Amino acid sequence: MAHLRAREGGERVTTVVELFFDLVYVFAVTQLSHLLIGGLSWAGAGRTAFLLLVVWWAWIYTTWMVNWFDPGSAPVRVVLIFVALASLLMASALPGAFGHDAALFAGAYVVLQVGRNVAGTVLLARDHELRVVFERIVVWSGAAGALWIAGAFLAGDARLWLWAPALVVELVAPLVGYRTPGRGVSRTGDYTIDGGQFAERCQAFVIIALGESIVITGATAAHAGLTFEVVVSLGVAFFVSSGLWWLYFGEVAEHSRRDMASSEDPGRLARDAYTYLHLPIIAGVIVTAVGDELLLARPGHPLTSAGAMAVLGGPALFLLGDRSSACA
Amino acid sequence: MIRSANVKRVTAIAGLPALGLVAGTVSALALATLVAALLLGLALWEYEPARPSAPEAS
Repeated sequence: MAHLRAREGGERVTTVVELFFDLVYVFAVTQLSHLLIGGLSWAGAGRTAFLLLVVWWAWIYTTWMVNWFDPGSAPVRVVLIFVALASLLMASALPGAFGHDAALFAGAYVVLQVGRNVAGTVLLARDHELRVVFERIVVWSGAAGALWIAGAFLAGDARLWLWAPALVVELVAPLVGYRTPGRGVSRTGDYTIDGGQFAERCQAFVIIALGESIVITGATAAHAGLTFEVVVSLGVAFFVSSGLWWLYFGEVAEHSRRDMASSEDPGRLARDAYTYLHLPIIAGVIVTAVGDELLLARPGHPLTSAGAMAVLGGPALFLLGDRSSACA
Repeated sequence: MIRSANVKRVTAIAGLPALGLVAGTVSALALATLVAALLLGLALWEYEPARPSAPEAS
């Protein structure tokens, strides 16, 4: 197939198209951390967590697709550019997702998810083994998409009455193998993915989140005025980011990448260790970035309880996710 | 090795809520310094430099 990656011969590396696509998600992660710091409460944290799930789901599904499809093929490249545009619109609408930008947020998300899955189906020959997998995914993303669009017409938090089931449908779909009446079920053994490349892509998202935390701390320090106390705090915040980086990219990440590359069922590992269990890792980095921003705002004063939860809870969430991912 | 790594991680994860006991009494900078020390300490504790692989027998 002209549009699919060659599976034999050598280890594949991340392409420049994928890196370009990732740039949009630098912005999306920044939006999420600003959203969290702007509403540091249980309700604000809940909304940010919900939107993080949506952002992650958009990115990880595209990563699954690009693991199968060749980004060097012109049609695949065009699909990726449109998915990146839809991701940018979705990310722009994140702060107003529960306000006046609900239609843009939900519409962009549904277009990128359903559109990419339909494009994947169309690009595959009718007799290709992945074709039926994509057809099942289209059915599931279409069902969830209807709930997302309908929810956008409700007011404020009432949207969750439809958006929460939509997200549940999306999260459950891989676990039940996209079981579809008349079309059967997809087992993880059906996914002939390149495990090493998939692991490398997920590591790239961790770098995106860490990079965003460094940008936030640097910008906050510059804005606060570079007093001695602020400069020392900037250094401490950087050491926190360095600690997270070292813990993730140390032995565990390399072991996980090798396990993925040599696994007999890389599809199951990609689903469990990466698609699901990388979420707390990313959430931990974002919460830590919020803690860093609070540190730089008032370094000489004790933190509020919400601030202390960010400074301590972010790394705890990260460590729990990292451990769970390694054990999957 | 995995079991030893688990013990280290569990120790660190338990250490973070323990720091919460002093969070209200120390400055943000002091608390963040303790977190940075804990994370970098754990990274160093776990770290094992990659060993060069043995040459293959001809």
